[in-house]
Amino acid sequence: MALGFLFGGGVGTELYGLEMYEAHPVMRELYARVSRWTGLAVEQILRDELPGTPEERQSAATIRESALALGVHDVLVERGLRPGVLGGLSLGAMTASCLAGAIGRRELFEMLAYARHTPRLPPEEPEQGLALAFAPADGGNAGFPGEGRPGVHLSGDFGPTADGELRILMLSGERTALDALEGELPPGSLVPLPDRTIAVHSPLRRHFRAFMASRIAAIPFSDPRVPLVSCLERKALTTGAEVRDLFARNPTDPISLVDVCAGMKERGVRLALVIGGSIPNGLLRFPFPVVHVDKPEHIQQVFASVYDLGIDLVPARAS
Amino acid sequence: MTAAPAVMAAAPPDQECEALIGQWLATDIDRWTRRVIARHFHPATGSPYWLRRAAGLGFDPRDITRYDELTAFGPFPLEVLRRQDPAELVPLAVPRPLTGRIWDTGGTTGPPCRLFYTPEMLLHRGVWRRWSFVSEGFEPGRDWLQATPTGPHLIGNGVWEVSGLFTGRVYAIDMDPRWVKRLIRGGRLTEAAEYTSHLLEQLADVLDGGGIHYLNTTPALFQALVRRFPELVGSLDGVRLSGTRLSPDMYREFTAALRGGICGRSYGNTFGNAAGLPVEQNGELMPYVPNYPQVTMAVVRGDDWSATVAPGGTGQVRLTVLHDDLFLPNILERDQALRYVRGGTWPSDGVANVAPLQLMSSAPEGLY
Repeated sequence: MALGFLFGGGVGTELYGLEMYEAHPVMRELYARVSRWTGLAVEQILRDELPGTPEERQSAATIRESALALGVHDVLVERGLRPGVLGGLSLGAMTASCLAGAIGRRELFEMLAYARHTPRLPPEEPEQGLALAFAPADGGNAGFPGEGRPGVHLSGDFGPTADGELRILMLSGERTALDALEGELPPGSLVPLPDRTIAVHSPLRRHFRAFMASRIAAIPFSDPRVPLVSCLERKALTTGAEVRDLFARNPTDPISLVDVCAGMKERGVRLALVIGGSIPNGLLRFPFPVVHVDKPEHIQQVFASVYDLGIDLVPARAS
Repeated sequence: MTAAPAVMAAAPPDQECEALIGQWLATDIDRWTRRVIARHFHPATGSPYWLRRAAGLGFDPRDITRYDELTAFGPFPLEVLRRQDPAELVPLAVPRPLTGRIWDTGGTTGPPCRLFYTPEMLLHRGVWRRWSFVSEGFEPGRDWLQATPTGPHLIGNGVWEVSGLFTGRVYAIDMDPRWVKRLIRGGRLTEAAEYTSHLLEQLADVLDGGGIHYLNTTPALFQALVRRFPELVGSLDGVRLSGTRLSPDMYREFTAALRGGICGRSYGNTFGNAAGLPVEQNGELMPYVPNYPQVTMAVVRGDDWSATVAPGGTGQVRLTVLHDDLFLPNILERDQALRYVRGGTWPSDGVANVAPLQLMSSAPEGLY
């Protein structure tokens, strides 16, 4: 009957978590440290318009997301709510790894800041994009829309919708290929994600993976101290080397929320706190109850859920 | 209608209960809406609260002819039920002075709401509850233990519902939900667990004696009982659950612990209840249907309470109470749920997988 912490992937399109920042000194202290580590002003991390090029913007946005996630975690821990199992998607997996003790906070944020220097792709490279595909939930291993088509890649599996009828997949690829696919499928079964110009978790991110490889190789990784599940395959990450491998492969390999949730469930999670705006409330079916935490009032909901569902809390470690 | 007993001496016979259910399920909701509106807005015998409000509504409520038009009233302001005399919401057609019980809501977020239940309202609730007992497989004439809030909480009237309508004999243990909620609000989970332990010891004392067939309690308390006294749970013929959150895992754990015993469920509060239907998808879908037509539920969008979500979609629970003696349109509950449509076999929408309300986002674009 464990309490899981589940961190969303990607970067949100809307600001959230500001009230948490205002209400909790422990978050403000964290943001001040993140500012020193990354060179971004606290206001940039918190709410300012994100900067310039796609890679700069992506880097700043990942810092914003991770700072918020770690901050919310710190607020919860301050109230005795510690994770029994950690999991996350993509960036959320890195945040979870950090909270499991596999990578230091400073190292994580410096790595995210370093990503802003990713070289631009040559202008002749095709424009990239993202889309969500909706397939029948009972389709089994029927593949994904556009499978085998040049320029279209399966980049994520978010699993079934709340009513169990559909399965949501993420496709990455060349914008023209995704647009063409949308035109051929029944209306509403492929939804392009606006303003997403990076084909995450696909072979089109090879250059980014290559750019980050030496940086990741230089980071010291430790064995996780809290059970940590992977988003790249259905398994737990038990060694520093496995966590490093996740960081290295994350840019190009597809992610699976289904695997994350199954791994958490196998490790006894019966309530998960969803942290980060990129797992919308009410849209997906989880194999355990979830409480989204991004406002101060959600903490009371967490307490109520912990009590109602009979969750075992992790005691504080002896200092 | 002059007496309002919590314990009704003369309960209707089984056939009459079944006839009432049939009659209610066959009711046309628009026609029923017109009946309730006419009663509450009757210039001479309507309810004082609604007659006062009618003046400021900007429309004549007596012009409403369809259930769907009840959205014109807007969300019902619960503050009214915290501050006003509950009799103000009861039509003057019910002879004054009113005598009987005032019932409270839980008071999760402040002072409780208070409602006056006429005998007909108590009977309506009880007959539906009896319907649940029968459909879920509970047997009449058995011994029950009721371990729920009592006092001002309507769930405590389950003692009468079992004894008066289902020929049961009922032991009871009291619990104070407001104290538990206060502890939880303050993050004092250790003290809340201590209170739970205090309740479990009382439960075990009754169950230890043997002879109790069924337990009526909350999922949270039953979960604690399953863990601490599994052998006592295994000896029960069934449990009936309502009042706190129930997850699919809990449901499966409970049915396993009951070793073939019944696990019945209901969802609701002092305003109105919904009966649990058999779970689907191995417990992943737990549906409920409201005590029609006096209680109806809709699942509405987070950004537009007047619009229902598509079947299977998630949204906020909107409750409408259409008793002859109590009219509460558009109560926006602090719960979210899936919209459950049972097809042609039930005259209204149901809800499934109820959970505490959080901000809704129906836009998948936010996924990454």
